[in-house]
Amino acid sequence: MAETYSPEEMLTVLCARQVRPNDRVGVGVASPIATAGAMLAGLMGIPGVRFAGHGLAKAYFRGSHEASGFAQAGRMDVFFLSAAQIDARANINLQYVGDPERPKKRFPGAFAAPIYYYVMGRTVLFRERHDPRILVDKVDYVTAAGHGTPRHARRGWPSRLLTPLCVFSFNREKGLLELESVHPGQTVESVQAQTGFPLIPAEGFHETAAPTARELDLLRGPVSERMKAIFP
Amino acid sequence: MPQFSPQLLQSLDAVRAGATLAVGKAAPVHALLALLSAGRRGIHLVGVPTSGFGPDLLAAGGALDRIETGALIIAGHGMPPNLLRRIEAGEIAQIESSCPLIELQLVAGASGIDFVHVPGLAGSDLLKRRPDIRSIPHPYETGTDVFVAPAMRPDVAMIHGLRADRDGNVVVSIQNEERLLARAARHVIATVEEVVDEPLTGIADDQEVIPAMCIDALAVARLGAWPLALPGAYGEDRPAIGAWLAASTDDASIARHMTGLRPPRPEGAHG
Repeated sequence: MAETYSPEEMLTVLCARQVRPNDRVGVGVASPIATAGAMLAGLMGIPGVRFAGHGLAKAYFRGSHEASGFAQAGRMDVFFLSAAQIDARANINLQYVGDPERPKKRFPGAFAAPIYYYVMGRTVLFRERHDPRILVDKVDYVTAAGHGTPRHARRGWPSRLLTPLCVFSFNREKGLLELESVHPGQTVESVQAQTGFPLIPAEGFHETAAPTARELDLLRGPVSERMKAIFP
Repeated sequence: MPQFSPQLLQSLDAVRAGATLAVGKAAPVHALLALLSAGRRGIHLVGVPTSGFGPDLLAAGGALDRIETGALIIAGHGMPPNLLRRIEAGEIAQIESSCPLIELQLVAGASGIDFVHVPGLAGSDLLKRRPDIRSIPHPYETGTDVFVAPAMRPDVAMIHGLRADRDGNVVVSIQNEERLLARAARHVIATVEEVVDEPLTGIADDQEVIPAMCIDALAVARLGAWPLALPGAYGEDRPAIGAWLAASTDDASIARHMTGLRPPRPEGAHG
């Protein structure tokens, strides 16, 4: 019989699965899920992976300016990022819900997103919740855009959006998020009911593989132990 | 309020109304309190690269007209409540920015160059709010454009360091951006935990020295970052930050709280 797991564990495992051999992985300071996912990726024995992020590796950066320089110079292959709103075109909003001039709710701010979203090799978006107020047709404020402009260089692109219900992949030609897989127990219809934009199944659309026993063992053992020390 | 040294109070003459003041994440809390007690108003704050407890203190004291920063966050404690309240009330104007943007502008300022190429930004609404960021033809690659932002040279930077020598060289942590701030600002006011007689040797691998040529005013302030952490010296005083947040319900409540705001006496101290 398959093991049971929480939506949070699923999301963590999905983060880990986005890490590829030889990736240089960046995680923001206040992202427990992505941090745990990166740790899990490290324990899964993916070869050549190197980390930058709170609790993942000793920071030999001089402050945030030098860390940004590493990213801008192309030394980050994959970066995990969350947002208050994400839309069908992978535009992300970290800042204002409602009219940006008179916002209904303010979030802390853009941080590095208006630059990082364009310079990281791949940006993996993730959200612990999936509902039509978060996954919207059009974000209320574009902190950083999923598309580029023809005349400005762009080093990297969004690659996935991971949620407790499904995985989206970003189709660069169309500039759209497409439904790559739905998690066990979900259907296209059930996910659509929670999504503020029309779902387009990606080529090879499938059901997300459930977390394996090994992934869950590592997550509940060594990853959980290390996380307690970092996010007490 | 704590007691302020005459040197510190005198050094604050450099912070005039309308001055651009840059403060890092590890804010010089003691010196900022001195600024409030000296009645400074109309400050244009640059929070490098984000704004937390220090800027919240200035906002609570009504000292800020404007803030430019990458995010409003007290690390580990959520958004700075007084800053947020006064921004929402329209009392403090917010200049939209991003952490690497501010840092690149400061690097340009510190390097004596007039503007800097900023990567990313295409399609961001940040551009609608920042007309000073321009798209210009790439000077070396035909057919492409680059975004540029003006150099930033704050009128004043205020920093708190671990120690200084008699020549005025100041030791700071490498975790924050004090050295960059000191290099970019036109005038630097530093407080330190102590001044040592010996030359600065044995600098730890997570510390660096701001050369005295960048420092315009220096004063000793023990526990000068309290209740914030000073990396290499002490951790943050979580209960004190918690009490600040709890008192931040409105202007009057935080004003009352601020009058009693002072670091705990070190153990064994008398008088």
